[in-house]
Amino acid sequence: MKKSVFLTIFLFTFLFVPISALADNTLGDFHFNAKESSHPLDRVNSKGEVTKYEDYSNKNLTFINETKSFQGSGELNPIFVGDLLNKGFLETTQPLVKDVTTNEVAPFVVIGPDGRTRVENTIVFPYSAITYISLEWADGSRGSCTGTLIGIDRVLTNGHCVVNPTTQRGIVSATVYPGVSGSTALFGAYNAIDYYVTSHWINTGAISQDYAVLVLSPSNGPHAGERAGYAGIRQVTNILNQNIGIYGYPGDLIRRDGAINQYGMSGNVASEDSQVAYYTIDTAPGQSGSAMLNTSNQVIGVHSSGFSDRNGNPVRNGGPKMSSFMFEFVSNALN
Amino acid sequence: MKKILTSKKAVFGGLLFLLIGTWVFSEMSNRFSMKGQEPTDEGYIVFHNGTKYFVKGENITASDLENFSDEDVTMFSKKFEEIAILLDDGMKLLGTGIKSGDQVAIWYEEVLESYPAQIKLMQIRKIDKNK
Repeated sequence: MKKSVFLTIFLFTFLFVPISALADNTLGDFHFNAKESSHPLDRVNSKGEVTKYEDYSNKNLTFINETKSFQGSGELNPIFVGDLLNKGFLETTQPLVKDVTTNEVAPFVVIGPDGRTRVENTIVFPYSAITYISLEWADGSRGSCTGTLIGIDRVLTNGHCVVNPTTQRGIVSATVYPGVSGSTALFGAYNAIDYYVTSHWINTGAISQDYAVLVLSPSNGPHAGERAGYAGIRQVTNILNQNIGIYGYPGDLIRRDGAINQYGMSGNVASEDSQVAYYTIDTAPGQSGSAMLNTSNQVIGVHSSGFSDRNGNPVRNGGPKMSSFMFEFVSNALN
Repeated sequence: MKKILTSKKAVFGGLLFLLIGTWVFSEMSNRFSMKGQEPTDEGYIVFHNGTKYFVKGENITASDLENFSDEDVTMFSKKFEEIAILLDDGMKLLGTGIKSGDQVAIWYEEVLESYPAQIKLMQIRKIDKNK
């Protein structure tokens, strides 16, 4: 009797609980205790667990100031992601039966003409490594950010895309789609299984700390970076007047198009302080986490914010640049 | 021994008073400094699942605000022209009497560009429709 009751409950659980429900909350609950952190660069993960700076920092990295990039195998695994716009989530992530061919070869440069222009061919690097990130917060709300593949299973984005310092709450799930064009994610979908932010971001919400690294699981075999490629990161000090490109998934243009498309613009860094770069390159909500790419397609910062004057007129955009502090944190998160 | 404890308590109490005083002063001076300035934006505030949203649009009705749902936050919702999350330390709304559905004026200088955007709220005021 007991056995049959147990079997019934067991079968009921596995037959009637939707698969999507099991897939939710992949990152678990975020509980951060500020007392456990003693250094601004202590690493905090998706559960709020703290890894001390002295435990993860690698003194051998002192003389290294850049990591390598990889253009990817180019192996396609396209899926349609249009439902992300209507529902905020996908029921399934079945591969799309569609012939995607590279009939157009874009140059291996990022810096293009002024003004936000659509990236028509997201198969080629570095556009292939620019990812659309679908997010779910603990209160059930959904949103999106941009991120850049910087390792085979690592994505660089903003701290505010994963943890809200005001509420001290984190995202419960995130899915990453590299190289999206016309609402088709050409290289597949990858779930985040963890993320890292600095304890200083959670404690202060300062723009200089607004960066995060996502850890991804593979999808149908390979990792995201193996298919789509990944950009190297480069430590910088002064980047005033340096030409940068910012590419991502701006909400205003996606709403206008009715489809998820990648857009970008290039320009010069207009001002800076020791940890933050400012520019007049056009950006919009949805582009948080877009890399600042130099002319060699290396990541030298992350776009995070827009600033207005006292009358509400937008005056400049900006984000943390890859200072020695940020480089140390991000490069260690690659391991 | 008792004396030491009492003096420690006094120091602690003094420090706490100083801290609260400084915070109240900065909050008040912030409100006064914003008073003469035009707001950065105007729209409606909606409280939903513990999050404060700021929404804008041409023909927003009371029903749109009352029936606010998670779907309204998606990029393709046509209900609102603009939507953003208000980042508030819990103190900006204190004593303002603002409730969900109110028309508000907001002051800010920085917006975090996730979708929806996250506005670093500096000041908020209810717009009195009768004025």
